[in-house]
Amino acid sequence: MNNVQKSFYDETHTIFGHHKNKILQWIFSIDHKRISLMYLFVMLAFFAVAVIVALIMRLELFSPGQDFIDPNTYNQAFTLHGVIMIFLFIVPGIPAALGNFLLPLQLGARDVSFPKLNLLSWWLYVFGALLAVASLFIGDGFADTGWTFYAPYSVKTGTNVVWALSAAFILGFASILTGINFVATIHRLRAPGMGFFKMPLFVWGLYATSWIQILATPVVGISLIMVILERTLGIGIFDPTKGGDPVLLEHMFWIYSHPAVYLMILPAFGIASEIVPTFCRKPIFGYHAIAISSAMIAGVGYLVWGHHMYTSGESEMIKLIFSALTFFVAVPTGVKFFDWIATMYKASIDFKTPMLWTVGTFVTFIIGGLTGLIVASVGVDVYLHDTYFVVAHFHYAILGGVVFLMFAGFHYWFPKITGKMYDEKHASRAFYVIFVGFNMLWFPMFLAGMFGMPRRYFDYLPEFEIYHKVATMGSWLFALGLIYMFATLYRGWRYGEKAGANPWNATTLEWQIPSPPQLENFGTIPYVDFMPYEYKDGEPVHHFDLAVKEDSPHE
Amino acid sequence: MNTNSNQELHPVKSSVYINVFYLLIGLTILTLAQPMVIDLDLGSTLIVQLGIAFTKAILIVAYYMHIKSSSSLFKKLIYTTVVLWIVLYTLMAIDTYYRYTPNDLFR
Amino acid sequence: MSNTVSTEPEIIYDKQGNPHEVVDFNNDYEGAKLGFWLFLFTEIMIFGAMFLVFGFYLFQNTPEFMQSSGELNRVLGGTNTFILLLSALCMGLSLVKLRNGQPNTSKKFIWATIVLATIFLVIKYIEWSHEIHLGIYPGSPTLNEMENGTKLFFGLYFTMTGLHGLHIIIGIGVMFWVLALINSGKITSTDFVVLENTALYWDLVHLVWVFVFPIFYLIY
Ligand code: HEM
Repeated sequence: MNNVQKSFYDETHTIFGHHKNKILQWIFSIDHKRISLMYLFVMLAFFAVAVIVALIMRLELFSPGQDFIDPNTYNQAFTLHGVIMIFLFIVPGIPAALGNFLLPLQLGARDVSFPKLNLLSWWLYVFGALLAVASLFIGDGFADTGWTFYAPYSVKTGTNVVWALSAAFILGFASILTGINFVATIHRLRAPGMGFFKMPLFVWGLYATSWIQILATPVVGISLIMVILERTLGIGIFDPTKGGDPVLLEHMFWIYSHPAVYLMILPAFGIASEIVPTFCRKPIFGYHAIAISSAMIAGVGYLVWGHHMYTSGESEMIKLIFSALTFFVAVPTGVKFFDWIATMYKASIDFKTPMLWTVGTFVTFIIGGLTGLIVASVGVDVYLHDTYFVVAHFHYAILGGVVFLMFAGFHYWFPKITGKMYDEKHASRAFYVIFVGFNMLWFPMFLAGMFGMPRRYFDYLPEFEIYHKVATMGSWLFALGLIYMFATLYRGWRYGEKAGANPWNATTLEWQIPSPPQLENFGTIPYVDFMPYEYKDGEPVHHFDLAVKEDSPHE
Repeated sequence: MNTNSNQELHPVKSSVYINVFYLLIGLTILTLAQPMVIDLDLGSTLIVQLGIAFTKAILIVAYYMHIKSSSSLFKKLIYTTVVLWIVLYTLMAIDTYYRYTPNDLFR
Repeated sequence: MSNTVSTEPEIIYDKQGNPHEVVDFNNDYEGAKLGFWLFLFTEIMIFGAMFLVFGFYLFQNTPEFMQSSGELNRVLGGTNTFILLLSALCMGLSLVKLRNGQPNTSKKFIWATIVLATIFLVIKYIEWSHEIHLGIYPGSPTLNEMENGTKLFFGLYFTMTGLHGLHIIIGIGVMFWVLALINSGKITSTDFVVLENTALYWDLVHLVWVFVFPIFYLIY
């Protein structure tokens, strides 16, 4: 491939025709690759904010007693941290950023089904984000309800709950639009010959996720609207003084928010399923099982929301049912882990940075997942509910599962997105720093939680001091590691060597085109009558050159 | 849009719309008449009313929204949503029924 | 969607030399319809969730709900049911006419739908102002003195019919947009997916009313 080829960084389609201004060319671009990068940058900016807020909280918890934040500010801080991390970072995270970039590339499509909708979704996302930020500076400041917005407190508190709720609603809308776009794309724009069971597994993860986005997000949307109406008009639906039932809000909230955690993890699992065969140089073990287990996790994961409510007054009967269903979700998840391990078995594994991240995640996510089973049992959870055990559990699952795999994906697709290579040595060192820091940060919290340290407190009894001290020091190490990692990636982007089309010898379609990809991705579209991960003797079986050429049939 | 083939596959006629319209009118009159003609208790009223409503819904989805003549993909999607709602409603109904009542377990 | 240049479909060949068409993402009728159906599913989830809330409180406050239902005006509600039914027919016929190459008749039917939808809103307005006149609206002093079940019933009544009314208003706006598109030749007898999706939307609005009407007006 020659160097004069134009990539999507040089030319683009915009919604209003041509713009001279570079910035306008970005923010009005309807190219899925540009939109994904815009998502990525806004998302990472908010990630940075939320991490800083978290570090401040950890600093406050370094020693017992009130140090420098008062209780109310602490409440607002964890709400801000939770809202940003969930609604602004991790829910759009993998689908809208990495997924948007890769879905058409992996399917052999030139864009998503509705490019304009894609742009609209980004605009809504930015708008929602601005609303959330604006509420920080108005009146009594950011909501202090926790990211769960439980009534009746969310109806009574004086802080800007309505703003936060509207922001969450709009962000939900953005996420729905992404979901619609992806399902339509996957159904309509697969390359000829690519049946559902010839799609890469990342696409399977995105497919399951998109369905959750479509079918679960509206439920929380309408319940948030009802809380808004409750605050502004007093319709009484969630207000116990008017006969309303706050537990109903909890139901409706978790009908979305529990599937939402599977919405986060499924594409992350998809990333793992891409990376494992590539660095084991082997076809993946149990392709069908992994694909179907994604759909199963999505389906069953929809029906377990009640396990967040064991202590909030739902009936004993439903507790039993939800507990049983929750244990059941572990089965398809276990299937995936089994398949990955079986793929790695007897392979000559190449421990490049993406693979390191993936294997590291196997450790942390297993801890997060198994502690999930502990809190899934009703009796134990009554004791552990609302302690740091739960906080540690979901940080292990979300941070140690989703975010780690997202980082794995960043490293894996970095050469495709930028066309450059990062420094392998520094990148793997950054992994070790983060991994150690992460475990230091959250493992002590399991213990503290087990001994009764409640969550959402700005203060604690002296006997918990040692755990909090270790955790806070871990948080510093973790933050250092993050800086190290992003600095390495930044240096790779600016000064790295050219990566070439297929640096990892991977098999899926996105590696058969130049890096960075050209405007409409593919010059010729291949006929896909093969499985996604076909290796023979450690080499990919199929090679294509699908770049856009001067005389390509398409434009 | 292109591909005339798509549209010639399943032409729609005004007569279908109008026939379905008469059916819907009939069902609506039934809906309105039921409480005036026979006075049932709440449970039976709900069954009758929702039964009629679901019949109307099926007619609308099948004919007005062309699901009858659409590809199987659309049909499958509809079934999925319906099943999802049945399950969700069942789970919620179980909680609603047992909560705070002597029927609940361990009481 | 404004892609008026009809290009030849792109064909690729497999190893046996059989031709396969590559779907053009800019010009995909099935895709546009699928996307809209997915959007309709989100609407179904929204209204479905509200019905869930309704059912929940109906179970907990049965007598108050039945009594409040009896206080609603069935004549106006019933009229509205027929109006929506008729408007859904008009919308469907406008699609048929357009596809048969009669854009002018099609436009007349859209106008009819708009008029019917407006009448629906007017009737709704009369109903609401009657209730508000009686002092029944969310958070009103009169309502706050009533039974809890009554408060919930009317809270839900205003929320759900309000949300439904909002959909009608949006629908009217969309129909004007569609009319403009027909006038400027952007919707034609071969390129009609926008009108088709609008009709689907309108059917959904009708569908929701098919359920809202009996559960609010007819459980007395
Ligand atoms: C940089 C690493 C992180 C640190 C140091 C951190 C720290 C914390 C702390 C101290 C709390 C408050 C615990 C309490 O007082 O109850 C918290 C809560 C929370 N965190 Fe993190 N966190 C980190 C990353 C994340 C990530 C990546 C996510 C999700 C994507 C996340 C999601 C949450 C949520 C949802 C809450 C609960 C908020 C609430 O109680 O309403 N955190 N985190």
